[in-house]
Amino acid sequence: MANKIALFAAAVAVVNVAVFYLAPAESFSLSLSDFQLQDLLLFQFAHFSVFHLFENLVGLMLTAALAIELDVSMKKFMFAYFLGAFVSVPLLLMFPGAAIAGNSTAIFGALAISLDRAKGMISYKITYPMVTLFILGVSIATSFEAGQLIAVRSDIFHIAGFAAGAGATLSIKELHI
Amino acid sequence: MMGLIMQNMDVVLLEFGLGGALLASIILLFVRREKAKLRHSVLRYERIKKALGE
Repeated sequence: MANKIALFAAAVAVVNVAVFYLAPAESFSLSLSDFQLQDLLLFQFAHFSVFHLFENLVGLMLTAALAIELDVSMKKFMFAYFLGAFVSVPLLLMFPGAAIAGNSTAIFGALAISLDRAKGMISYKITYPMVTLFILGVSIATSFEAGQLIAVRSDIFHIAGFAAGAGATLSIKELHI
Repeated sequence: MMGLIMQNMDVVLLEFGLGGALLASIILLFVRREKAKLRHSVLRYERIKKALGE
């Protein structure tokens, strides 16, 4: 029988691709200026370009593969995934003019819970700062190339998604989920 | 299309990025290697145990 996390990742991938080809991204992207209730749920499936979609699909598959390799439970994986996805919603209040789309914060959340599970092999004291620095490093490099600091806003979302996943790990331990 | 959207909206792309994918791949490979080492150690332990007749 196929692993539940693999099935979940495949289902999310299918929905992402379907939403990308069936509806324009701006109709589901979440923004305060053009707020619609269904966007609260659907923004995570919307993508603005093929490259945006492709990168998130690759990230999702790799994170799911890591979680499967580490025997992360489906319940924990989904908890961290959706916590990572929805942490973007309150953060949007910081950027009233912006529109967000994509599920990378959710993937970073799922990555955080997988890395906690890997702590017997590599400590989260190494992996958590490594991922955070990596998020910032890539963004700073991109900004230098573009000549201005453009990517920092998405970093705030990504780091929040990753922190939400780490927080999910802690709450699972405390609440015995 | 993308340019048009970017012009009309202030978009924040929630994008995992190829860098993130590279990092996740490295971690995945590391975990697989550690698991293989662990499996190898268990097999060796069982072989020794068997040889000692325990």
